[in-house]
Amino acid sequence: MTQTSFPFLTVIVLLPIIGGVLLAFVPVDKLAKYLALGVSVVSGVLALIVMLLFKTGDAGYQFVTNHSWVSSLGIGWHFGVDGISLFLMEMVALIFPIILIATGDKTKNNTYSAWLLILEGACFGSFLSMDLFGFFLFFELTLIPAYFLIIGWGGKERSKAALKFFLYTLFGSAFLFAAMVILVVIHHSQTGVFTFDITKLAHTKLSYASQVLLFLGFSAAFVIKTPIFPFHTWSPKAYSEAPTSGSISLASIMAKLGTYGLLRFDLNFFPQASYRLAPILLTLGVIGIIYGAIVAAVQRDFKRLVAFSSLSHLGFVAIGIFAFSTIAMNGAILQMFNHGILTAAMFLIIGMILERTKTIDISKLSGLQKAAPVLSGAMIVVILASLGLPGTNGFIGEFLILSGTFIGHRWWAVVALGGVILSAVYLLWAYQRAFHRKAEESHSVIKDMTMKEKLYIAPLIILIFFIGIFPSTMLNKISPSVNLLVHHVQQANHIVKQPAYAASYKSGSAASKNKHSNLNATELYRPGAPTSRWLYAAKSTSNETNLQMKTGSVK
Amino acid sequence: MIATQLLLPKISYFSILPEICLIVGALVMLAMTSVTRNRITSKVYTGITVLAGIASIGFSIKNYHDVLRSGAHLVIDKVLAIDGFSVLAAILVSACVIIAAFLTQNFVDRENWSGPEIFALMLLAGSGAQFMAAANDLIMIFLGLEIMSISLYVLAALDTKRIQSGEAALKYLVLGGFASAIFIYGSAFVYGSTGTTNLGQIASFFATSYYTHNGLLIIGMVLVIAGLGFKVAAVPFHVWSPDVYQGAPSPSVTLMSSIAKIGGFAALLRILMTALVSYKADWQPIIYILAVASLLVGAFGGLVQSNVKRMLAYSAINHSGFILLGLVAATQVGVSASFVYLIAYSFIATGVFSVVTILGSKGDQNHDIRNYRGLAKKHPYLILGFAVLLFGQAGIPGTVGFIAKLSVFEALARSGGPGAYSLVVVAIVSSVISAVYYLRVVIACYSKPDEEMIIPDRLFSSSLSPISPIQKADGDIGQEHEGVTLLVEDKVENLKTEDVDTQDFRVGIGSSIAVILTSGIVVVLGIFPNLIIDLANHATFIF
Repeated sequence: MTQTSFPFLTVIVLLPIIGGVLLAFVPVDKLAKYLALGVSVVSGVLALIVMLLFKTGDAGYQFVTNHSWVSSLGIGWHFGVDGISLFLMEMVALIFPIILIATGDKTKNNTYSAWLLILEGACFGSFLSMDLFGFFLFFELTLIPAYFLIIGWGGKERSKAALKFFLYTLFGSAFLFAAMVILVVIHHSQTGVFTFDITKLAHTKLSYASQVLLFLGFSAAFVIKTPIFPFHTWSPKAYSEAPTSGSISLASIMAKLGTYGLLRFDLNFFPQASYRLAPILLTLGVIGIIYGAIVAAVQRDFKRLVAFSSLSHLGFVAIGIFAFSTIAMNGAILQMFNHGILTAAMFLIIGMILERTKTIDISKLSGLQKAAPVLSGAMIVVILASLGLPGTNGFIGEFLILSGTFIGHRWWAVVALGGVILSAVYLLWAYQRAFHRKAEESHSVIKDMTMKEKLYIAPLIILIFFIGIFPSTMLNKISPSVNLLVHHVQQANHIVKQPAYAASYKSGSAASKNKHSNLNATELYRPGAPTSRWLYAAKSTSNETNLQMKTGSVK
Repeated sequence: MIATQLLLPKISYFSILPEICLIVGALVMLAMTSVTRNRITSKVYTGITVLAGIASIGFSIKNYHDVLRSGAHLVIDKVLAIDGFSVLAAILVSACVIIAAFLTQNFVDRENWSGPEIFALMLLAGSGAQFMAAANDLIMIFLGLEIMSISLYVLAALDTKRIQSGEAALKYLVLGGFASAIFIYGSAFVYGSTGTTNLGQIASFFATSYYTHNGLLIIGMVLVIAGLGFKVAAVPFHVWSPDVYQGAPSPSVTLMSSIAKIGGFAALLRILMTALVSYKADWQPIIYILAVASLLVGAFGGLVQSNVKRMLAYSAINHSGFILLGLVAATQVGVSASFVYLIAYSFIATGVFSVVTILGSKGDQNHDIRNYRGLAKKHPYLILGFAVLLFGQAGIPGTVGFIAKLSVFEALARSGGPGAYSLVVVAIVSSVISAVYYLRVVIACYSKPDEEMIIPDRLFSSSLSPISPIQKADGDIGQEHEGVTLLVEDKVENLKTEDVDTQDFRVGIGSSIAVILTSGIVVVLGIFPNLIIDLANHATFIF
């Protein structure tokens, strides 16, 4: 863990929240969006600096700030960033300024910008908190701005959508809350210390039975937030009734809170339960992939289509997490980032369509391509990335997840692969219907993208290709932390009895893996595999040169 | 002691100055009015009430320092305990009275009430609650209980223009009197089996003696719990509360929901945790059942209400269940946790009822959730404060409501008693269910005035009560009670009238202070919970 003199993370988290609260009470309707944008950009730049200063190859937390907050309960103002949370932070830092630029039109007042800023701060806080209490606080705090964004600026049935969304997630969080308190109390009874510090709580000794119960409590919150099938029923309504900004923050950012929670807390605190119950989550993930894709194909509302496609894509992330292979998990984290970028771009473009044609009913749209070639071009890039075309970021994520899963959990990967094909079906079909066909009268004269729109879509499009071509820039930073986590799970399940795997990353050199090293040691296990396989696995672990592969061959 | 003559105990006036301040404030107001007939404005009364409250807080703080310096002590022939718990509870009561006074000032101006009665009664009720919190003797608890209750009965009846107010007061009086009788009856049994009414002496009696047949004591204990359970509206002693909350004038309800709970819980905690602590195994299951019942009835009962005050009555029942959780834990940590919850709840409840009082508009009738539509557009900051307070009720992190829930759960989980974990789960589920009705109110405020009320009507009439809105309004005041036809007509009338006028009100300065103060406290304590957690850790009993 490294300490820095400037409290980067504290500022990144607090700046938007304080800015938002101040903005809510200062009646500056005209200036509000510029002020909000300014605050958001400053946070974003700081996050960017953190990424540049981030030490590649260090598996632990960096930029740690730790202050006592509620001393009697051992709650700390404790932030840190590691490979798992780094790019999620960047995602928040990138997307919120874009939302503020894209949706800050005349109908929005200072309250709108204020809610968005508070939401940004809360999202930063949840990804960066190293304190379970702090995480929960920010995790729940995201609900309030999202709720107000929906009921303030949403569609026709917004009240119902807002209530459903709020209650559903609150219900899940309630179990997280109970499990959290019980975990802390158990830790207290073992060590005599009250703490919510997640690095310390990870050392709590739990019987298998209590691990399972607590695992279920924690997961309840996360699978609902993500959402993972069959806990997704709130999401289509909420996504479609929310304003563009709300949809983006729900789908791109807040959905990742769920997957991040699974990764950070379930795997860390309850490695045995996570490992043994993994087949359940893998199965749910795979069902989500297929079911989401099929249902997405028959949606008429573009936003609902994205809601179900999100269910499908987040299913990939879920199987990537619960395959317990470093490759798949690297892929899952990368895919979380990718999904954030792609969904944001998708909703932004849908927002543009809605603005121009006043409808996002796919069956009523037609021939947009003639009238708006740039807009259509952007959309097809996003769609192709979303269905995993090589050269785009979607491909890297899905490929890593599927290949990593295939090693240990073959049949799940095989079925999930079907989802890739289905996603091509529903996305391209929707594109054809809305953009090709013969244009209706009203749609033949719509404006193409304006300069402003091009400007804010551009960074997302660039990222789609950049990550597609140079994934190693990200994977290098992600993988040490992932290796540590996978090792933690494996050690708890007595799968590998080797010294810490992450040791080999001290050099800080390129550490991402390519196809050939897919078959290396740590990935090679699955429940019920014969012992000889384990032996083989252990043997080839020592062959660490395997890992030091050039990254260029990933492509 | 010398037995041959009647010996009056030495009264340490200095220790009871907080209570005396409140009583003197009330008497000064009454005396002033009798001299200068109706020439005094409500501002003066508010000023006096606030001053009395502040003086009371000041002397309580002095007592607090005494306790910290020289330890807790008993005064006035050991009937009053000056310990961490009593002085902190006294501060809390005074704070609630002050907030309620600010609010009442605008209320009495709006309703054209004159006279100091409401202020004087609020101060007296406050002193009663403070006596209850400090009482170390069953008789003293009874005295405090009666001072508080009688003031509250009158407060409930003060709105002479509305028949509902009288109805509420009558219900409160009859059932409350019944509960007081049960309490004193129980005290008699306890006295019969231990030979003393002093809580400390009861405890030391049990420390040295053991009953092979303790039926008498158990009866006494159950009756005492029932009597106090009525005051704090724990299920199954809650049936009065929705009707009374709905009918009584809103400022009175503000006080009823806060200080009556503080006093009632203080007495309950003290009796069970000091005098009867050796019978823990006997009363814990009773409290467990009361807690579960309160949690569930409070959560589900509120779902079907369309009158906000009535809904908040169920919310108060739900919160009683949470406070009882600390008592189920039956540890010192549990007492502190209950106290944290009491602090949090008192501020939230006074705040919420402050807003409800403001929204009631002239006539104090505008409490149907349908009339809240579109309020956010007209009064954005007021509704923001309201939303903060309601989120506090729901226990959303960032508000003190969350800290309160966290501490009771933690205390309960730590006690590790039978069924502790399952009770935590029940409590959490109930808090989510109750969140439904808090959110309903928020959504109503933020929806457009002409928008159809999607949420309550469709959500609840389809799933829970398949009756039309008008019928539901009939049902609101409790179908089983006779003689409310007038009320029902009134209610229907209220629904039919255009609700646009009811939203045209000015938020007075006093009410603004009350709302800003409470919502500010809710957020600040939510972010810096150290302030109350440390305090509550000092809220220990003398034994």
